[in-house]
Amino acid sequence: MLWVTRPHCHIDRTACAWLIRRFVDPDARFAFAADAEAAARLDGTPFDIRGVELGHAEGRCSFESILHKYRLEDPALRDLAAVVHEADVDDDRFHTPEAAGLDAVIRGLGLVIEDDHELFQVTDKLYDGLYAWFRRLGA
Amino acid sequence: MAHAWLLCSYRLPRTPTRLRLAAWRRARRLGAVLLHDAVWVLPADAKTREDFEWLAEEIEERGGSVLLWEASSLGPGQDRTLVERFRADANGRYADIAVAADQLARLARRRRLGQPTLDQGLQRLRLLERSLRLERRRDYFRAPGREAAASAVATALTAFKERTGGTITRGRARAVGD
Repeated sequence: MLWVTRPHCHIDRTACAWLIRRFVDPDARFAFAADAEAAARLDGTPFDIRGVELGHAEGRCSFESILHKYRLEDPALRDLAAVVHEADVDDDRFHTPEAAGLDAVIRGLGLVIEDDHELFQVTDKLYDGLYAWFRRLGA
Repeated sequence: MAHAWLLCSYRLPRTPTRLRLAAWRRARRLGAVLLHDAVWVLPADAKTREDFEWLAEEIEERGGSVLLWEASSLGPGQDRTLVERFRADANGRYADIAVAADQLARLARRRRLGQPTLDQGLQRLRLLERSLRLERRRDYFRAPGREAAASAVATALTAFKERTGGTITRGRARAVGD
């Protein structure tokens, strides 16, 4: 299945891409479009684009919207969601010390990796690691 | 290293003035610097790009028009000037935090201190911690005032802990939907 989001991905979109590939659609392919209209022309499922279902809604960031829609209840994913939320949405709802570090790492990766597909290859590993970490914390 | 910058210029209807104020506040909250009363500037990265994109969408929804650019300076001197401007702005805000934290620390060490005043002080301390977190987030060039502000807040926190016997805790909140 094709999934579409905006280019120049930061935390929420890189985390969503990982979440989709690992927990929703193992064969996911990704494409990039500037807005919802351009995304619709690509005929994929849009995420983290203003106004789409898998976007920011009711105080949720897009990662949380995907958890919500696909009923992913794993506590380690919830922990990861809190980190993504804190780094992405500036609302002080969570206090996750990991967020500031993750923000720095992904901003920095964006400075040295132009291509979002290539970025996903790196960030997928990062989120695999963070997820494994939260699994162990909750074990 | 040459910096890449994001520039944002917008125009909003003259009235109501609150729209213009809201946009101005939002840009300031991002830590953007306003140049020549015309162009907001942020150092370019995926997050700041996203921040300006959201700002642009909001302005357009409110009937305004926005231009966004990614740009590099033609001379390194200009980069240095801009970086110093970011640091100076951040230093000013860090200094405010440090002053407020010092006041709180003094409050906590007062010989006589009623419970309501103590509670109020704790509340102000929490807000101050939050301000410090926000400041660190938008401190793009590690302004020198950061350390003094962080240590003043830490000192105030210690003073309150000593006063209350170490009972200041903050729980780890759960994600949305729990």
